[in-house]
Amino acid sequence: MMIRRFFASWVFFMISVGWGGLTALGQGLLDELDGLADDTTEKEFVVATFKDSRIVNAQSNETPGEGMLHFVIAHRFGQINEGLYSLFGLDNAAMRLGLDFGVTDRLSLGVARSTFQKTLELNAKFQVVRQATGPGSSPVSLTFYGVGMMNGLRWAAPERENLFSSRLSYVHQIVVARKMGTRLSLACIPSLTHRNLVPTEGDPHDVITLGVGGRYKINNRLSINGEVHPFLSKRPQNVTPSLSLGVDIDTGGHVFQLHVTNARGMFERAFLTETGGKWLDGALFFGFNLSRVFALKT
Amino acid sequence: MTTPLYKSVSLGSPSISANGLTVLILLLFSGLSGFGQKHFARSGEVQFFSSTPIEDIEAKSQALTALFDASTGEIAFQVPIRSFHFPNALMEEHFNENYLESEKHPKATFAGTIAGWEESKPAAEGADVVAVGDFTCHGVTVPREIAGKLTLNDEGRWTIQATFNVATADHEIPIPAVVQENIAAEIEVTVHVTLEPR
Repeated sequence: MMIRRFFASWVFFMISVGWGGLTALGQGLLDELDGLADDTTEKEFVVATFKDSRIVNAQSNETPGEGMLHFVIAHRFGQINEGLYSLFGLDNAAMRLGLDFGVTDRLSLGVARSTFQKTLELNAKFQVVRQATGPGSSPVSLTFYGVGMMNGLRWAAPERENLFSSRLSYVHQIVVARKMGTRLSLACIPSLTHRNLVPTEGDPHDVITLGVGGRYKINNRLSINGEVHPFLSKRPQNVTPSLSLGVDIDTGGHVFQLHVTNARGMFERAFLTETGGKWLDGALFFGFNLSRVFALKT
Repeated sequence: MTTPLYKSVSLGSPSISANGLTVLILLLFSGLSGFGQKHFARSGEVQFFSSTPIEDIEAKSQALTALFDASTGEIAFQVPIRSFHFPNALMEEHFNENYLESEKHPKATFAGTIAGWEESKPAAEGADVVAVGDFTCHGVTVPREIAGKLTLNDEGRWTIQATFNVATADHEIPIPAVVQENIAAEIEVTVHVTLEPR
């Protein structure tokens, strides 16, 4: 009897241990799956290094993506230190309208018009290297941006011989960007600006700047952005590096970028090589970029 | 009391040793069959669909992994959030950055058991089953009962198909007022996966 009873309890014990073991195995199924799934780790591109294709004035690494049309309306109001008479600059505004089309996920082509010097631009942006994790990872993204700008103002001296090429200027940039984590993204933007026509003989045709910019996300919809473009080559006369600070507000459909900058021009040559006012003198402009994307291809 | 009992379980007693051996073999066998009956899938499909009068949003992933233990009816799924692709790059960015926060919560998972699972009842033409377990998405775990169809085909492969709704509010996914009319409060999720024996 004793033996039987013992045996019965032993069997019961073993069964419960067995069950326990099986249940534990089942609960560990997700862990086991996790281990199996890890073999399948694939190259993953980092998304949303910046909220928009621009940090403030300068390009970020972002492009609209294939089949997307990115429409940007940008304003820079008058100088804030004009005072109450012109409502701190709000009475007049310079405007830029831009359309960028995503040919592929990495390439975009754009056209834009600025009221400043009636400038027409044609631009191209290509993500040469994209920041990625996993096999074939890259710590940074490298993005090429090239823009040709045409001054559309009537000739100041029409009686002189004026060459069409004098209207043109070009900027080439490499945007080296890295998303450091969920909040912080940094970019380094070396730029070469070539101006066919310069104001005086003493001004350089080629200007090299080394821009530094970044953003810090306060939350998913709000970030603080900043950028500065010091000169590496000879600085044009009466020109100061452009420095801009702003916020990005992502409403879900639009991105609003509100900022304060000492540059009034919204295309590369203007803000890199023609920024006149100094922050310390209050020669600042309030402005915004409002962007919206449209899916042309679904 | 204990000493004689201890002694009596020794293999010296023929009747007990036979019983013990049977139990041992049974345990061994069940253990082996348990291992032999795990089924795995690497590239299952998950689709989700948000429908509002203003717009329909659809995304698809082909990176669902699943593990199913046919001996116990236990089942686990996992899908990387980043593997969902949208027809529109901006939607995909917003999905990852603003809604699912995939850097913080890279996966959605489900771990559970098929209710009333009987191994002896393989379903050749598909059985309607309910999986009871924990669904985790955006770092929030919600106990769920998810109905689906389970089919065992001729080659010994299991196919699982399920459609269920996920309420964004249940998983603390905030939808701002501006886009509230564009994104459904309940997202319809469809899972389709075929598992191979391991």
